[in-house]
Amino acid sequence: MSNLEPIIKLAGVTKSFGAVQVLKGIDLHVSEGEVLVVIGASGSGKSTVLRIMSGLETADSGQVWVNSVPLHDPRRAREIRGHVGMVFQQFNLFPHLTALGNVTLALLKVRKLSAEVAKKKALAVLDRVGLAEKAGNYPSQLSGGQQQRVAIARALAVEPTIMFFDEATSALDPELVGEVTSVMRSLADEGMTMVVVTHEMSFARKTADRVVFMDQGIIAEQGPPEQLFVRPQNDRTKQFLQRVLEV
Amino acid sequence: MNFIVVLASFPQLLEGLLITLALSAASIVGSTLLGLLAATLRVSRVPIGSQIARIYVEVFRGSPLLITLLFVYFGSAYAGYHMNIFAAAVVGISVYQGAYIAEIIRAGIESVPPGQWEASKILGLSNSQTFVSVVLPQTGKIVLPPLIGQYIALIKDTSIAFVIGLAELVRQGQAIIDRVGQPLAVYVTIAALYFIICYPLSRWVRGLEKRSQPA
Amino acid sequence: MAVLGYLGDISEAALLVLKITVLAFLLAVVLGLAAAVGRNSRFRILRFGAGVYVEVIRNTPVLLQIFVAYFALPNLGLNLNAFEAGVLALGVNVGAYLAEVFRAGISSVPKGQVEAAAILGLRSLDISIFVVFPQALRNVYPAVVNYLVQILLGTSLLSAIALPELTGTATTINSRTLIFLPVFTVTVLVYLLLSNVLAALAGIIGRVAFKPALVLPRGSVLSRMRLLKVNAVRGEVNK
Ligand SMILES: Nc1ncnc2c1ncn2[C@@H]1O[C@H](COP(=O)(O)OP(=O)(O)OP(=O)(O)O)[C@@H](O)[C@H]1O
Ligand SMILES: [Mg+2]
Repeated sequence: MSNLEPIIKLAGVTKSFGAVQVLKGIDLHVSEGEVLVVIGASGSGKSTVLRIMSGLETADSGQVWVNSVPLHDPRRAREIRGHVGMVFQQFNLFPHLTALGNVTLALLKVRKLSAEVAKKKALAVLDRVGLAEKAGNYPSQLSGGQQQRVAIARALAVEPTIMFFDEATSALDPELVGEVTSVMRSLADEGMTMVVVTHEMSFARKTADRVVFMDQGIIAEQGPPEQLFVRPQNDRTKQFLQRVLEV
Repeated sequence: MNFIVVLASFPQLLEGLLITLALSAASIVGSTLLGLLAATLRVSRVPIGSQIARIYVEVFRGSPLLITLLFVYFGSAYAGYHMNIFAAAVVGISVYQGAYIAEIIRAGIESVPPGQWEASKILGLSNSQTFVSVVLPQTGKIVLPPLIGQYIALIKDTSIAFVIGLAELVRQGQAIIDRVGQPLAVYVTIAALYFIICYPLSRWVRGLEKRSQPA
Repeated sequence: MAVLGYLGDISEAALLVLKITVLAFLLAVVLGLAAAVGRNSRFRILRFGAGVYVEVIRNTPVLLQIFVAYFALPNLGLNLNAFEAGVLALGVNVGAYLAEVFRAGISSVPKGQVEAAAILGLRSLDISIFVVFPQALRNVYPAVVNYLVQILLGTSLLSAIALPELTGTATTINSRTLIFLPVFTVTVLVYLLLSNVLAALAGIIGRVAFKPALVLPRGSVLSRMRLLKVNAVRGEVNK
């Protein structure tokens, strides 16, 4: 794949749930290695965009290319599975498996690695998020921040080309947010392509290459963080930033 | 299956149905009162009372209803006190089902947050005032679905009074079978009668459960 | 105590009770799984069939079902002895209840679990086997144990079709000796022993077999098993 060709391309994407149109035509490109942060009010459609890009939802119309897979084509959409990583607000760790078990599951069942190789690889990834010594713990025996780092390790283990984060720190106690954002930041530094939905404006400011502001199902404004945060053009963006930055 | 024969004996089935309904109604009242009493004792922390309530619940929930019925009916006879079959069935079923209902009500009481007790105490209500006018009314939503579910079980369980000789629905059916045969047709008819009573109640329970659970 | 002379009969009857309980339970689990799958099937006929099974059985008395198995099935050419009829009726009965438990257990596994596994690339069969099923099993376990105990207590009804299980044996001994109180007290104690031992065993298995250990709330073994109804199962979302 050429470096110039965007790794994610959305064109005219719409999505409705029942009578409610949640996405009203989204056009968006993300290049390889880019860190894109998506902000916006609750219900503006951020999660839905992320879920469409990761293949969890199908768009009603428009085109969605991710990693050269046409996700708008139901027959081919499955091809994206195992090639992108997703980190959820609620962690979604498998509670019946240890941290190690969570990370090795896909290595064993999808990559078909031997138990030994999978374990070695999983421990290396857990070490990367600073949790090698917690490998034997079950999720219920870990703090929220540790659980989320295991979830990141689980996603990283399959060597995804893109990582999606949907409010990865929103369910955490404030003092635990830092340990997760610092892992995310190190990933960004290593050149991982990332799409991050977050309410952490400081993370957006420091780490994003580009910030997208979503409002009522459309992209109302986008640009580099220094522009969007310092000189927002759109009134809705201004209002939103005023509200979140005041707190 | 010959339903014509059954139809000819239908009045006899209706007689049985009437007894089943009367037994159900009386036992629902009895078991609910007993269950409420046992649950209240259980949460009251009155030293001996709560222990008795606990043993009551444990014993009846760990043994079959049939044994309870035999105990009440034959036991009262051996004790020299002759109870009629219907009364014995009401007592046996009430005592037995009361143990299940006690646990349902207790779970409901314990689901009321302790802050309700504390708030009432500060308002100057006594413990029993708080229990009756603050706590119990709040248990309704949680208690109602399993309580109705237990009543359905109770209605079906009245058939077990068959064994001590009560002429309820199943025994009347058995009598018809003894006379004219056609067991399958008779059983299907009886099953239909139970179904007509229990199914709407089951649907109601499901509706209540759905409503009490945010999707 | 004259009842001691009959301890042999009573323990034999207790053994028969356990035998019926285990066989009926296995049948109930198989039927329950089949009906749970049937109710979620793509095929209307299967959904309808499973629905009729579950609703008819749950809304009619188990005693009637025992009578159908023993007295009416011969008319359809199926001759069962009391033991077979008992296992069949109790298994079919509890299977209908387990069907609902299993269904609730599967839907109690949060959607996010399936999504997380799907993004990792797991095939849907693997997701069922390695992600959904183990969690559903854990969620339904207390309710399933509850129904195991229900089968145990339900065997007493088989005395109505002249099977020499515990209650029937107690009645026989009583009619022969007229020592009512000792006989029935011992019988109740045996039932309490059996039901509590079963529940305790299940509790130990739950603690050993599930990771992390499935620890049930405090209280006597039996009451904590009984309390956890399908509702609780449905509401319990794992963190
Ligand atoms: N599966 C669904 N079924 C019905 N409505 C849905 C579904 N998923 C999302 N919606 C609705 O679509 C709208 C957009 O949802 P979305 O989750 O994308 O918003 P969001 O920007 O991520 O908000 P938040 O900050 O609260 O997470 C909301 O009004 C939501 O209620
Ligand atoms: Mg969202």
